[in-house]
Amino acid sequence: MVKPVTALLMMLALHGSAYAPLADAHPLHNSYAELSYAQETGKIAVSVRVFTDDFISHITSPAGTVGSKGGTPERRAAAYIGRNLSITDGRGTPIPLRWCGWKRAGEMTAICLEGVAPARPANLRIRNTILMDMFADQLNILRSTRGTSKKTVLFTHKENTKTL
Amino acid sequence: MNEFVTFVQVGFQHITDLSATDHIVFLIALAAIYRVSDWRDMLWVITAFTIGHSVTLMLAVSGALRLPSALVEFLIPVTIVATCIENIVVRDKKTAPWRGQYRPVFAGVFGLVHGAGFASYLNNLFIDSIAVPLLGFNVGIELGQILVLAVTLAGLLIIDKALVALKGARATGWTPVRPRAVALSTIIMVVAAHWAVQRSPW
Repeated sequence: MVKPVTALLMMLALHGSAYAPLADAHPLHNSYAELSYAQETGKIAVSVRVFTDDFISHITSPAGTVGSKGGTPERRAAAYIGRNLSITDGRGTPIPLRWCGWKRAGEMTAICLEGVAPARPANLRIRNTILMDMFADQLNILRSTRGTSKKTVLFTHKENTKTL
Repeated sequence: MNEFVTFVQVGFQHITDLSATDHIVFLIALAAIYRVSDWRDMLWVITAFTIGHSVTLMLAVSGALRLPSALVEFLIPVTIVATCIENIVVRDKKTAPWRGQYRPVFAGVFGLVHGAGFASYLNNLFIDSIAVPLLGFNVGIELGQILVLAVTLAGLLIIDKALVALKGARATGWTPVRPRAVALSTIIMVVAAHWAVQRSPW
């Protein structure tokens, strides 16, 4: 037999559960970028991997198309990446990144970017806010290769700029 | 920051993020029947859960196991419902099969399902060398679980004290563990059953 306290708590529980938030499945909201930098030539190559469904739905949404409403999906994607991934040299001079295409592979889309740092700086400063305007828990991982040295950094809402 | 530490952070933030409701709720369901003094039993259960999800994660990320994500996302709330039913039905561990010692096995099997939940996402992220990211991610998940459980235990302690005060039962030796476990499990079960219906692939 159910005791009165248990019965009361069960009633409260059932009542309270009606107001409980609904949970979607909890995917990882991450992007993964690989950056290689050759200081002797100043050449920078970046490959960014994003989840296709999230990325495409965002670049076609009002929030993701600020300033780039027209054009093909690729142009919108390039504009979005241009706004959310930037590299500067040690003096804060922006290093332009050229869009060199995108390719879908399974659930991911790989985005190619290239640039040249004319001053061949020792350090690069990177700002990566890809999909942070869509997800509060978005984390962007970047692995850099410079000669034989490799470094992995994490971009979060609080720390969206890192020096390599 | 090296690659290992980066992925520890990713795992930790994944499990402690408030939008990770299903994983957090499952941990609370596992902990709902314990007193603070039962922390050793709880640790066994959580360790078994961690081993379970690590195994699936490794198999899935290495490509040895492929599970449809829609099915996995449906099974996660089902494991929560099953845990809650067990919490409610088994009144006394001493009279339960194997004296209730099956719980770590139970948690380990359910851990297999939860591990598959994020395996497909990690699998897509890694292009090469998965060992270091995977280890870091798992360590981060484990640390996050410890934090969630510490907060849960503190919450349960407060609920127990409030129930004892409410009933004025300090002197009689009445224990609030059973009503608290039943109430908490009922709330979680109803919510998780709703998630299961929402995510049903059929």
